[in-house]
Amino acid sequence: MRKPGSQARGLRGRFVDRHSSAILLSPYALLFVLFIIIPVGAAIALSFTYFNTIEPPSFIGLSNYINLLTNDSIFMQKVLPNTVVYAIFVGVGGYILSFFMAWSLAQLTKVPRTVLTIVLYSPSMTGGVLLSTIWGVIFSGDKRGLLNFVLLKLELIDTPVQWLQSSTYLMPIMIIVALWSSMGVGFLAILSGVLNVDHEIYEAAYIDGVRNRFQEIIYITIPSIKPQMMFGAVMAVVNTFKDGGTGVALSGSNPTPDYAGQLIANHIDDYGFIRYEMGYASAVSVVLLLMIYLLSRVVGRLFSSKDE
Amino acid sequence: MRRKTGALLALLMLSQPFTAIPLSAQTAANAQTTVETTQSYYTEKAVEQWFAAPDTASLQVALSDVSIAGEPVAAWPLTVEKNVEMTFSVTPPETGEYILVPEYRPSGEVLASDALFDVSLDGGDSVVTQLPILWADAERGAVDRSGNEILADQEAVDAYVSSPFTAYTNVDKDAKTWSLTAGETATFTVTPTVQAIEIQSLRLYRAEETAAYEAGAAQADDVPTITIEAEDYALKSDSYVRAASVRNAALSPYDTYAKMMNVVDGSTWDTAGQKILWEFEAEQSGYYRLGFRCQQNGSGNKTVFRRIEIDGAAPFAEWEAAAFAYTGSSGYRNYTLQVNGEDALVYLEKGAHTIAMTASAGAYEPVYEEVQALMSDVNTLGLALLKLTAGSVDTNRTWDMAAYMPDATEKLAEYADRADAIYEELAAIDGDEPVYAMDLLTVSEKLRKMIETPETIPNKTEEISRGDDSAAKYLGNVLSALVGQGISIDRIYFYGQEKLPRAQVSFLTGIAEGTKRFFWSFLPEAASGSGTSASEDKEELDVWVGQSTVVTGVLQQLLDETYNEENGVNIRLSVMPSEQKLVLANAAGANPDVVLAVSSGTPFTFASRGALKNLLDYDDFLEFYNSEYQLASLVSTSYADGVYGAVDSRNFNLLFYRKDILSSLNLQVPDTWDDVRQMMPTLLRNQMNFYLPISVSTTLKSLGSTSPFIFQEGGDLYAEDGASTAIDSEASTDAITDMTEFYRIYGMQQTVASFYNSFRYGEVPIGIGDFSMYLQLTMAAPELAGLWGVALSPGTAQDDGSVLRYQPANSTASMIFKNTDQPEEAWQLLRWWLDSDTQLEFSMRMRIGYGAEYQWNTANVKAFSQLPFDSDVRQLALDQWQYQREVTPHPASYIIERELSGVWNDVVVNNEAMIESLDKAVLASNREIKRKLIEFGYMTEDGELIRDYNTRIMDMLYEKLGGE
Repeated sequence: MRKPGSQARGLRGRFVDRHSSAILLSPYALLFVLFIIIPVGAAIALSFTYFNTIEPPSFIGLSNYINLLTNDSIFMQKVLPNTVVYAIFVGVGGYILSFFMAWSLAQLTKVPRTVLTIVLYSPSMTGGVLLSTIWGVIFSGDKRGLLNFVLLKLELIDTPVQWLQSSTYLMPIMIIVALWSSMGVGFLAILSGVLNVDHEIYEAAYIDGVRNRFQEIIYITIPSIKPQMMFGAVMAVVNTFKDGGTGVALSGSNPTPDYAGQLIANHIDDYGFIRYEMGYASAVSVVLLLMIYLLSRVVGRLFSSKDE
Repeated sequence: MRRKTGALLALLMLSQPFTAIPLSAQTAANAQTTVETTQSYYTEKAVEQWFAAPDTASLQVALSDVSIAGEPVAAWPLTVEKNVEMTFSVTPPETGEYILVPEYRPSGEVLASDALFDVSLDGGDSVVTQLPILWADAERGAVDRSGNEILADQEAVDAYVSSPFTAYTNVDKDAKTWSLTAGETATFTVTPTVQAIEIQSLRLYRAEETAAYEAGAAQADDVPTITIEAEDYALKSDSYVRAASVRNAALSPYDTYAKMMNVVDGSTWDTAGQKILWEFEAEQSGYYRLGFRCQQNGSGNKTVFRRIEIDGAAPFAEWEAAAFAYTGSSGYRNYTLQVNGEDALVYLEKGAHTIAMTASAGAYEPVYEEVQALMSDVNTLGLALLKLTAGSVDTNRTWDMAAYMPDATEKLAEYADRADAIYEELAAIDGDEPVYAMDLLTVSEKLRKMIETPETIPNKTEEISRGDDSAAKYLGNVLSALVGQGISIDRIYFYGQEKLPRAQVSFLTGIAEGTKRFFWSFLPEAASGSGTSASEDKEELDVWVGQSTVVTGVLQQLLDETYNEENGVNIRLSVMPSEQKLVLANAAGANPDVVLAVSSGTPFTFASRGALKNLLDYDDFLEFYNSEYQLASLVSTSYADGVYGAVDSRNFNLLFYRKDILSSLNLQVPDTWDDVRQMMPTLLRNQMNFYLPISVSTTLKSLGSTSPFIFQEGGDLYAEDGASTAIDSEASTDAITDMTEFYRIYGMQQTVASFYNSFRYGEVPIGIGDFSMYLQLTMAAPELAGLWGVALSPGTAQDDGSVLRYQPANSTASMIFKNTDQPEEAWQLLRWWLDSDTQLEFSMRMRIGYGAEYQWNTANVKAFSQLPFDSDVRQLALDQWQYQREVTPHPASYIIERELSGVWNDVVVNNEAMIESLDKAVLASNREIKRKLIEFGYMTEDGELIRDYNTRIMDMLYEKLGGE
């Protein structure tokens, strides 16, 4: 039983019909393979080799991973704890801050909201450039640094503090700076989510007995914007883990003093481009990839389990 | 018959090697003939009219009154060698101010644009004076591969010229005058300090005021317009005053696609004393107006000045310093010179003439001196206040100024008024708000504010004379702003009643030109010209240069003219944007054969991973290098028992100090670290400090800044077998203690954001700086001229009284890749590049083409000693290089760098115990060294040393040298 007209469409038409999904998918698939699959695959492959970037790589099995887990004291003692601390403060803190800011902004009228949104969003766009200029001036270690100047003036300190050279202060400063620039895409997504929650639901909730704004947030706003919350959370996880520029830009060198601000991304840079051990660096980046993947799964569970 | 053929054959055979070997001689001969046949861009008349003697009676120095180095001389011309004294005496018939005018030409090789002389009268203090060396374009109109015109080669004019000695230290650089008394014999001593010269005659003239302008006619005559293209100058006083190409359809010449040289670039013609001379022909006698198509946009609303000379002399006093008003940045303008509000008229006879323009400080000269005086007064007051408080920083303390310094407020008020008055003067000169001198108002405001609370004035020395926000610093800004006298000129017109051509094109034309160029840029011929590209010919060597496009361009030109020509090859150089690219190219197998002038650490990185050719494979390398370079340089490019890179440029670390401040504090220039320690209390008491390179603001202190201490104490970074670190040896521990105690005990400032700025403003009047510091101070700090000095960097005194001053010096190096298929050609090219002639020529071309700040600081000792440096600084640099000590490269050197920096940080910043921190550092270093040595096959996995890692590179080099 052929449908009328199908003959006319011919062979080509049938081919297109049958494979339409593959054809429509192909541009994306091509780009995805080219820019994601191949590089990730290459990184995984290189992680099993010794590769000094100059001579061809040689296969050494799992040694890189074994070394990473058993021999790399800097990774275990400094880099990993730093990354966890940084991720908790910047990832979780930044995420809560984004939600809070987005929710607060949603309470404003359109013009101030737009202006403030741009103001809050801009650091995440310009972050890299402004880091060393703005924050470098504020935390500069001589008496001309703004913070030192103010503290000296108030006589809270006698001599200038080396904010960025000191292993005690570097991490807190990195966290402050990262929080400042953490209002990124996730924040915008949450903001648009909050703005799009149906007002009738709030009204219905008040009739049903919601008594204050806090209950409103817990029972209405957050459940309504779960997809955006999840997007924001995943972005926060990915961004904090792959961030490595802040500490290096602030302290002016990789490694950061006493590895105080050393994150995984810096560790990869250190091995790849300073010690010329690209194979090892690849192994670290594979570990980083796994960590991000696992955390993203956890986040996914957190925000989707109730619906299923 | 047979005989003849035989002879012919013999001749042929004989001629064979000749064609192969002395090609160089042949090209040299060719070059000579081309010089003769090409037109020169100036006539004898131009040289004659460089300076027209005044009408006053001249006073010729008699040959019998001249002696050179104490010996009488036989005949004109006299050759006065560098640093040789020439003495002569004259007896003037009249009392008055005289200028001294020799007729001279440079003798020997011309090394610099300025010939400087120390001149003293009757044994008095010597004054630095200058004679211009005349330069002309050697060949114009050469184009690069995409048809863009390139800068003309420069040649020094080899002809006698007359020009007065000028006062080099004056802002205006005008002719130096000496007052002589009638009948009294005056004895002059002249010593060339840079360039030997040949003197044909010596005359003195009475300095005379030029008469003021008097209009010779009511208006300009109806004469045809004379147009002079500014870029077609005949002579100039500085080689690096140069033409430039500006893409502006209104200028001439102009081409939509190709770049044409069309203006004299104002940014290169901005220093007082720089003179350009043009030749032109007047078709008709008559009164002309003088107009320019020019752009003057140096700094906001600032006027610039030019002395204008027609046929060698300024026609009237007003043109001794003709003002060119600010034109703004929106393009070129027609500008006609005026006197008293009317177009100035100048009479030209029919025939050939010259016009010369000399950059001059003009009306700014007195202002400049006023600012300078004000600055020095402010500084004096600041120092006096500092002495009063003894550097106390107690901001709560108040002072009874009436008792301690009754005149302080008065003085401050006076200074504020003076600043305002200077501002008004500038406004009067410019006829507009002098935007560039706004800092003067900041100064007066600042000072007035201080007067309001006189009891706290002594606490505010930072706002008076020290630091970034001080009155003295703002005055310094004004001084720098006043110096620049740049103006770009496209055309000079002598015109009568005709209208000048327009200086701007319509908006639509501009758009149309831009659109055409945009679409043209897609065509292949446009692409061919984008920089230098890799040689397409597979046969040729592929050579990369780790320097900027400008530097590579100059090097390519030199290569074309010498190496390519002599060897009949066509090597193209490629600019290497980043050294990372070399790693990638190498991974892809697309690496070049030879790399020139990359940073000196790069060869080791590649060599230790087996990518480079051992230069010791070339039998003559080491011997050659040792003869013209310093062997110690090779330490940082050696690995195992090979040398993989040839260091080609070096830096120097010298001690820079402020003479004025040290003498006011009664401090001596330190020779050893002990001296430095002794001077620290005095410096600190005066709120000043000492700069060590460790105080840079980056947190990772480089080995270059930490290792000198260790070397000077006799320590080392690695144990002899290279398998562990030696930073915990007794000597090294002492050194690290010293290095940290400077900060913990002697109070050195932990971070200095910019030594140069702190040095200028007197906060850090002494410290260790490098070549770039030297350039900055000479080029960009006019207010400090003569106030600073350099000395060898301090070191550690040894028991025998000598001082170890080890400092690193290497800057860039060149290398050959192992996989090159033309190793011999590669070495031949490298040998050419390292040759002292090439190095000197290259350095000179950079200097002649772009000014002293672009000088190539060659590592070739022979070439360096011929560079036109301040002779003291050159000698100091050469002496300091005797103490060159480079860090032995090691695959794990980064860990030593980190750990040393970490120890410094722990001790100085975090107040931890040194020994504890050092122990930690040694542990971490040794672990990493072991890991790296296993990686490189020096150790087994169990940590057993298979063979020593070579840390005795100097011994190895000497051994190889001796063995050959």
